[in-house]
Amino acid sequence: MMIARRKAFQIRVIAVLALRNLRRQVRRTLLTATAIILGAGMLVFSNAIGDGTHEQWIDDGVRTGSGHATIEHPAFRMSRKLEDRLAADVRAVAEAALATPDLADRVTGVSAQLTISGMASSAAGARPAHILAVDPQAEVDFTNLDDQVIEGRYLQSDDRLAAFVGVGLVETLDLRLGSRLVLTAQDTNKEIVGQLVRVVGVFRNGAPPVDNTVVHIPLAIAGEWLGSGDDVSKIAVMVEDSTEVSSLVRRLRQALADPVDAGRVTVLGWREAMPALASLVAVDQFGSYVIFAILFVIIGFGIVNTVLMSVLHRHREFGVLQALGLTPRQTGAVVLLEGLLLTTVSTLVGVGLGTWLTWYFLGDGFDMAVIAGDSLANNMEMGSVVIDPIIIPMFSVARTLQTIGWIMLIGILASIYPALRATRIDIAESMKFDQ
Amino acid sequence: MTPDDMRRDVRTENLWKIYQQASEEVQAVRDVTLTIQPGEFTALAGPSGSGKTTLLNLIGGLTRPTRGQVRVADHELSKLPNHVLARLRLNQIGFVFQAYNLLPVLTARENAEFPMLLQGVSAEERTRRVDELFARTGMEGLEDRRPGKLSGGQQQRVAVVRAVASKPALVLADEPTANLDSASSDALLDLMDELNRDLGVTFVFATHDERVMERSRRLIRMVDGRIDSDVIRVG
Amino acid sequence: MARIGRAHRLTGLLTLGCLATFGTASAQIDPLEIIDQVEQLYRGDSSRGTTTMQVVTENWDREITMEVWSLGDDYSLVRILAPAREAGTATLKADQDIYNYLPKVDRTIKMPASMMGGSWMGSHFTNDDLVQESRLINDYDIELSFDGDRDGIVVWEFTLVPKPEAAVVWGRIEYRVRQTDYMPLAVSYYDEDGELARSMEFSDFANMGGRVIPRLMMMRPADKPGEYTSMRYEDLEFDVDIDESFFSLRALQNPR
Repeated sequence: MMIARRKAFQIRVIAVLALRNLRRQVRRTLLTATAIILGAGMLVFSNAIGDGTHEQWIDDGVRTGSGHATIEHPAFRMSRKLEDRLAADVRAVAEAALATPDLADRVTGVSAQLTISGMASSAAGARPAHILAVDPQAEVDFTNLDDQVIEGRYLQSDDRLAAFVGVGLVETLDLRLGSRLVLTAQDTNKEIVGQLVRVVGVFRNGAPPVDNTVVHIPLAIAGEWLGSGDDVSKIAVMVEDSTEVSSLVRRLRQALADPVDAGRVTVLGWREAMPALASLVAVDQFGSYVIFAILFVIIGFGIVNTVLMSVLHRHREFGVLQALGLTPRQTGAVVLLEGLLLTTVSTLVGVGLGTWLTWYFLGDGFDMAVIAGDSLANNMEMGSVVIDPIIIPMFSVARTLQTIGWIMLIGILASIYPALRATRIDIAESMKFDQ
Repeated sequence: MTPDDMRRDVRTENLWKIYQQASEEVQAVRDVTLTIQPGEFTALAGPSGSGKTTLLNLIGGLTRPTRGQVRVADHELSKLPNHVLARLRLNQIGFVFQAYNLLPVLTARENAEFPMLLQGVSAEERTRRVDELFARTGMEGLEDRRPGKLSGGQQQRVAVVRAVASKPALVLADEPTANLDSASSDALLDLMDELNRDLGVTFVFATHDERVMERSRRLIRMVDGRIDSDVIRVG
Repeated sequence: MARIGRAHRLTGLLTLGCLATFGTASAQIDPLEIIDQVEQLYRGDSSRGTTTMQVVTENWDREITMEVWSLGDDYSLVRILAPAREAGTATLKADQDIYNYLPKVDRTIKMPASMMGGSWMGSHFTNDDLVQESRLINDYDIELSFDGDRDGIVVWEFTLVPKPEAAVVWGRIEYRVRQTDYMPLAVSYYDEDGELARSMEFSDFANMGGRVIPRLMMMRPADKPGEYTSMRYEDLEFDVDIDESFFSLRALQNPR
């Protein structure tokens, strides 16, 4: 009874001392708390912005063709050739799997497409073209190019000799709505064949590689042209957001286990399908991590400074505490607790602030142009991805917990050294009056 | 009564404390053998540098001897690890220092209650003891003040209350009157004298204040780390 | 299946074939037949010749002498003789594929479909102009639009309009043929708006290797005034003794 009470009292004493010490050094505490609050807030908000940005990039990239996951012939990625297309039976299995309730609920778009490397020519010249033959009806839900129409319209299901063309290609080939456009590529017999289509719509994506090369045509006409019938080179699948990709890929690989094993099909996540985008995201993420690391160091030093200074200034006080019967460990605990209290409260406030900011911008998005100035007022382009200057932040509980965990860890680490210093005080020395 | 209480005397045997100061070896305490009986009111006197504070610190377990032994309440201090020493101080020894004794973040009452809180003494008991001692020391009404709002004499009185409230076997006081005017010094000495007589608490002072020596009932003079004279005064 | 009919073929020039023997102009003109016959000028068995190509652009001009071998429609091999800096560089056309061989780095590059629109050796011809083999009569409806005297020469002028789904880029082609010997004189290519895109002129008709052909061909892009590419035959022989094996990648890399 007495012992239990003693323990409880001792913990209370330590807590009271820690709390009161923080309150005593109001200025120092507030300064450090502010640093941590701003740091945590910034961390949460910039994480949300960063994740939102990446999600946007991924969404853009995903909608430009490959999907969050893509089902294709194993050789297609490297060869980009017509002959490495999906066999009809494999396609049937894949589409059956996508139609099962558990997947159908999560999948937001499916695009079966034939990818053709070829040439687009007009009377004004010829340019390499990345021709995507699609089912217009399904593609409308998938692509974002139909939102980027600047003239005409996107493909429709009854279109035949129609092409939806990037503005760059339109300019270099001197095209306009209704213009003749001759597409040239190798057919299934490896003969180079041409196909006449007419421009029905023009888009501006903002990314030169897309605007200068991409042509959408109906799958039906491509099959006629190249002798490939209804065949597609890949089935691109889109889900709500990128966090669901790995389970989607796993599920598809399961469903397609036999043909996958037989080397007839492969299922790729967007990272594998778009390595350039994946590394762009990774590089950007790494950049953020570097900044976060710097931020952590600053926060860490702030905490070390506050707590260590308070230890050094309270040498005598810690001597008194130990003379009165506090054990060295308990003395250290006072210091550690000071650091922890400071960190915890500040982190929570900071995370609250960051979450509020995130929430505030969730609706309308955060206009990067405000920060970056006029140069970004229009679309930004990075790699082959167009960056919308309006970023919708992405809030994630896991990310927030991660942030809290990191700052707490920094707080604990930063408090350990001062705490150790407090345990090692030479009592007799600290009591010397001239100190 | 626990066996600890039965052997509440303090003994040192061939006690040495040698430390390095700059490149010089300082023999602060040299071969001191001493016994202090329960209930004594003893002054360790001597000029500064004579080793009295060091001896006090050795007895209080605040510093470790180079050679020899210190026994307090039948514990051989030099053999105890730090945390056990801390516990021993908590339960057996009260300290009064020259100044800045009190924890600035705690009120007078909280300071006084501090060792009892660590001991696990109940709230009622703590309040009872502190109220009684504050009444005796004329500190009533000042319980909720922080040390910064108390005079030097008042602070030292709180320190004495704190030292005795936890019912130690021994109170060690290092120059307790050094920063006080004579009126305050006298009041403080009156208090300690009274507590010594009424409660039987053993007091050991390190001092070079004549008034303290006057009031002591045993006067040990130290010179160069050795006991020069040890006189028990009657009356 | 549609074939490409982008330009008047360079292939034609590289594939100098036997000339059809012409009958006298009949009273009843069949435009289809005449154009087909003129096109036959560039179709035939085997040939070997030396040509000089001159490319003049706004920024530079260059002259390349090359040896040209051909077999039927499907095979041709062009190897640069001069300037020395580029000597040995060769282009092989076999079936539908074009390969470029660069002796300096000892590399053979197969031209992908997407590169077919690129310029062939810096000229105003595209790689595509080399491989196309469509017959104008398949892709175009042909009408006689003029029959009479132009600059003292009796000519036919034909207007070619692409059939509805023909995979050709031109909106219209104007084709001028000399009535006396069915020699092509000029071909003009228009876009859909009726704007001239490029034109070709044939001249310097001479007997080479036993056949009358235009020795000089000039190609002028309409959007770049002053620029042109010309091809002139220095010598030419027909029915040389080569077969398909002559047009192999090995032959491309190792001139005999």
